[in-house]
Amino acid sequence: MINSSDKWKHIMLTLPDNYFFELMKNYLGKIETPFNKHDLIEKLVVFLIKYNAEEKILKSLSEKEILFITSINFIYKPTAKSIYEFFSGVIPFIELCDNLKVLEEKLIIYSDNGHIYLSPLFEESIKRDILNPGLLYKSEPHTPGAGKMIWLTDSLILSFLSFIIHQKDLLKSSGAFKKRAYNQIETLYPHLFNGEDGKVKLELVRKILHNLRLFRINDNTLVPRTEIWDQLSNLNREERWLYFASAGTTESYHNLGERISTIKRVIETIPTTRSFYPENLKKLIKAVSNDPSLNGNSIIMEFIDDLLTLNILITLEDGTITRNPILDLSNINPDYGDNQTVIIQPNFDVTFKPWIDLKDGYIIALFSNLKKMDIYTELEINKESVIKGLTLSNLDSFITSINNLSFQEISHNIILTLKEWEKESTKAIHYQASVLILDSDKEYILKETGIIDNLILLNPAKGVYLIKPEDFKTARNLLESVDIIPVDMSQSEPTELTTLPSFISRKPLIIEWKEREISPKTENKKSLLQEVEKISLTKEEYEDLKKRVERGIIFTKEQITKGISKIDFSEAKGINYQAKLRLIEVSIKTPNNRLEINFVEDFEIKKELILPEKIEKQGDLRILHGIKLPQEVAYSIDISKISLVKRIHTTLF
Amino acid sequence: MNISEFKPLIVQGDSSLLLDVHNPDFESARGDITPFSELEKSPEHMHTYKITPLSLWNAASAGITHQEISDILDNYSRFPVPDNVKFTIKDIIGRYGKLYLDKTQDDMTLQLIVDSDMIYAELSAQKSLKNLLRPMGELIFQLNLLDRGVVKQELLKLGYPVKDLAPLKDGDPYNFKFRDVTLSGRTFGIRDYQKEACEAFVGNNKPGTGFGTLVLPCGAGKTIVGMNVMEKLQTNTLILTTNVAAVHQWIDELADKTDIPREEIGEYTGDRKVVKPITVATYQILVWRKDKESEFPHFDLFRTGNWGLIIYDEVHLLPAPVFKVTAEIQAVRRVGLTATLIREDGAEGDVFTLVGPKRYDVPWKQLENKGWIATAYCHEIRVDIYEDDKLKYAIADKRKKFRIASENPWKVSIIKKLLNMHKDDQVLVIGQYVDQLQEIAKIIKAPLITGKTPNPEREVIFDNFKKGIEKVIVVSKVANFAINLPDASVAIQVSGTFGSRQEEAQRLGRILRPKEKDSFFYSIVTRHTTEETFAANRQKFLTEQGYKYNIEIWNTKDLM
Repeated sequence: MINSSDKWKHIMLTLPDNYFFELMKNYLGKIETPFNKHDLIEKLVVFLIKYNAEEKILKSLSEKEILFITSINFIYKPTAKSIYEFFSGVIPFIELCDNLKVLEEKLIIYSDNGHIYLSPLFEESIKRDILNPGLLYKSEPHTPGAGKMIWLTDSLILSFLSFIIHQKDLLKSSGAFKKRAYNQIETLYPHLFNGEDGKVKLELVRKILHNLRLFRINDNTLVPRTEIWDQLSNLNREERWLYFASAGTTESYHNLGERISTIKRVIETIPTTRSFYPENLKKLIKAVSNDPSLNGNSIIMEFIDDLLTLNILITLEDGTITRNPILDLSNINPDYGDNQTVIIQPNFDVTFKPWIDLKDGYIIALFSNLKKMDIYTELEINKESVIKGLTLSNLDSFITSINNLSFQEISHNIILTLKEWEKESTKAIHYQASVLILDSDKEYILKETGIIDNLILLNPAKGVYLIKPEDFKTARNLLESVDIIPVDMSQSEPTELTTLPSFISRKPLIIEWKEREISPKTENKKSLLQEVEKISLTKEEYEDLKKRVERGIIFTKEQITKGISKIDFSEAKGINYQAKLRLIEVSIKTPNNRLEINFVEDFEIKKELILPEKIEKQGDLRILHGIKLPQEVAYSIDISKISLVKRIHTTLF
Repeated sequence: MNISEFKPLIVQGDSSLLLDVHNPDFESARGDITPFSELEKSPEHMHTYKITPLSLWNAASAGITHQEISDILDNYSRFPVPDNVKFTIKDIIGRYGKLYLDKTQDDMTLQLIVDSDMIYAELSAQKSLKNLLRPMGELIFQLNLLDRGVVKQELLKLGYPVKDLAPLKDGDPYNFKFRDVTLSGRTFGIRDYQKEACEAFVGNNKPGTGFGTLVLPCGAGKTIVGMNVMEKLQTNTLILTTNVAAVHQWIDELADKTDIPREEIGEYTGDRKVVKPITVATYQILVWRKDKESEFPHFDLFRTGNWGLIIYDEVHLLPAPVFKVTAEIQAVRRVGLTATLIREDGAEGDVFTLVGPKRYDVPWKQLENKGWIATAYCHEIRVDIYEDDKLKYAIADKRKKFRIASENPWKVSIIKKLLNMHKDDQVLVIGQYVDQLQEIAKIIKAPLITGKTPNPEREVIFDNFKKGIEKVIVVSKVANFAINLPDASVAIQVSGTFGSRQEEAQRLGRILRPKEKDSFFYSIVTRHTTEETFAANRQKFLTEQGYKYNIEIWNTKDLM
């Protein structure tokens, strides 16, 4: 296995030449030819050890630098842009890039494949002594209170199952709910969906129904997708709840897997004993999430709002946010040891206790009509609801479910009535099925082999078999295996099955929430500057060395030598139009060059960071075209409008 | 918390309360929540109560604070009480006492005093109150005495309960006592729950009491409760009831159980119009008029007698025109008596507002368990449609379908079988359609009572039935209410008014008077027809009261 020292050497070797030598000169002084990159790196190692560089560099880090280093450690595949976004754009991009460049020159970070990493050289010490998550995710100590009830439960989803399948005419032709449906929901959920908060909750539930594909539209009515309900029923409560919560906070079925990982990690990372201001919470969520759809501050803020709506997070009186202490993923919606989760009364009222399991309540919801959803859900069984239930399941399963779940056997009068309704409803039956017609020879084979016995819906006449459309593909394969190859006279495609997207369970972030005290700086800049004064330098060399001292990349007097400055042409300003134009032209030709440009707009000096691409001549004008960073959008400016242009050489951004 | 630590009450977010009947603390919780909530239904396992503005204002008028209510809920609630429920309770109770009615020096004028400029401005701007309230400044409105009820009703709609401090009118005094032994020779005493109901109404006799509705199961002795109220108030009383038979029953009961001489009890009906200090009248005579344009001449009965109390028997049947008069007589003490406050016209709210809020309600099964009403077994017997009617039924419209199902000829065979099973019992056969009932009466050779049966003839039939001379009588819907048949223990319902829950309950009520044997209620329904659906709806009230229907399917082959 490659050790950290070798890894660092390898990184150094892969740096672009011009950048490599600039860096080496800063530490080793003027480099004489011929040179060998490997030797130079070894020399650098000796230098760093000899002058106790690690301690000096790390001790001189500013609070801002520590913040950036800490963020690099937490962000998934960090880039200058993602660090900028991590801080919600509060720190100007140019300033951030400047800081990153200094950290790169201090050998603390490096870039590989467009991503920024902590350099292996100091990584161990940085992780041990420097990282300061308590500073990055500033939080306040908090004593957990009573918390808020978790309203997103299996019982809520079951109530929507009942509501949707037992109500007619809920949909517009576009597939959206009609106003009438919303009015009904307000009545059926008098507490939950009340007022403005209620609307937000309802929208979240709508997304759950949609993103989990719990229903399909069939002739303007909604029909449960059995395969999804089955899959959800077979999950444990924790996983299922994560699917629900995540589906409510995302815009698409396709993001679901990532979103589940994020929500799980948010819950497992955020302690109930700390509370956060929204800005710090946003940073934490960015660190927790690998979800590409969670990009941009407003989207993350919406996500936080969703988590608040779901009561995963709660807002405290001082405006800080913490995790709801009631929420316990390992015991979501506790059942208090009560497995008898259904109450059925002689008046055909059915009540679900709040901890009813989706699997248990599914069939009952198919046969019962929702009357009110609250802490306890109230439903009723009537003839219509039973007939509807019979189109989706069978009565025996319903009766068995109720008998298993209620503490008393279902009463005789209810069973008899249900059977009577079933009997009456089956006097005329409408099937939607694929029809298989066989002659007597083939039918003989079918009967003898029993090959599709469990797929046959009905055998209404000799040689005529009805098979569920979704089972027909399986049936056909089985039939072909016994030489029955039906000629397909059907044009319709079998119904597409849907599966739940999977998710990866990632470990929570382990964070030391207490802010680490930053040790006082060893301030030797003054003496270093005095050293600079002592040697004879040109004005440009003097300025360059002074800057290096101020930036902290010179930390020992041994670095102060005449030959380290590369006095290149890196800044042009004022009326010297030609100088600006030439600097831009040079930058375009050199890889890894960026331009900082200043210009006046609306009586204010504006700054932009540009990846220059080309200069276009338009009459007398010269237009600079490039990519504006970090937004990565096309950018153009008349060069005569630029008041200052600065060339920045970096591998970081 | 584990299951054994479960408390009995679930406070739902919409302020309804689910009370777990099987919890050891059920009884004490029920006692504590009753003063500020209304019982909605009480089926076998879980009873439902509702906290309403009216129930809270009633509680407030009895001096109960929002904190006390919150404490009771916290004490019994299985889960934390939703914050919004506590907030609503505080808010609604907080409105009580912001407006109060008081007398003025002018007997015909009252004043409404409000406690803030904001409310004063709001009420001044209300269109519905414009002709009723006269702004007098200084947070005071004046109103006519006669508008007292209407104003209260309107203000209630606006969410402002009125604390009515204006004294109720004292009628002419009329003194009487209960007998210890009735005229018929039985020992007489008032039962505990009847006393509770009476006290809930009379209260401390201070402002805010003296009007209200008492809900008691059929057979629980509502008449006794009414008489108890009369005895407490000792004043001239007008009793309004449903029909002449009921008028006679009231008169008989008063004469039997009190020392009021018969000659001091007036009968005000279509047959006789005698006004005495104690007068019993029918609703029908009150709302009689020559034609739709005319005045109601008998409304004067309310105004002419100096009544200190009006009793509305079977108040759920209070005819709409009487509402108006009731609104005018808000100064008189008034009590409504009913078993089933369900109105198909949805006017339950008006009854509460005009007669007075529900002051007492008791689950039927609670009285049955204590033996105060008979234990009743309900059966629904289903039978196939008559073969000849199948096609007729299939092509008939909805209404006709119901009639064909109701008049299924197999029902007669079932009645005969049931009568055979209950040879020693007094049986009522109750139905909706006179043709059907005539046919049944003819076949089983039993007397028939319909709306057209003259009163004297009815009385003879009832008398024979009571004496056991007749074992079976066939009755139309006239028997739905106020027929005192102490010895009937079996009722067979052959047809009814579609899905009327109230009718079903009242019909069961005919056999609920406590007796030595249990009672049986049979409802015969044609299988796989609309009658089945209507029957399910009819049974709702009773199943919500905890009754179970045993459903049986009878084979037509056994009926041949």
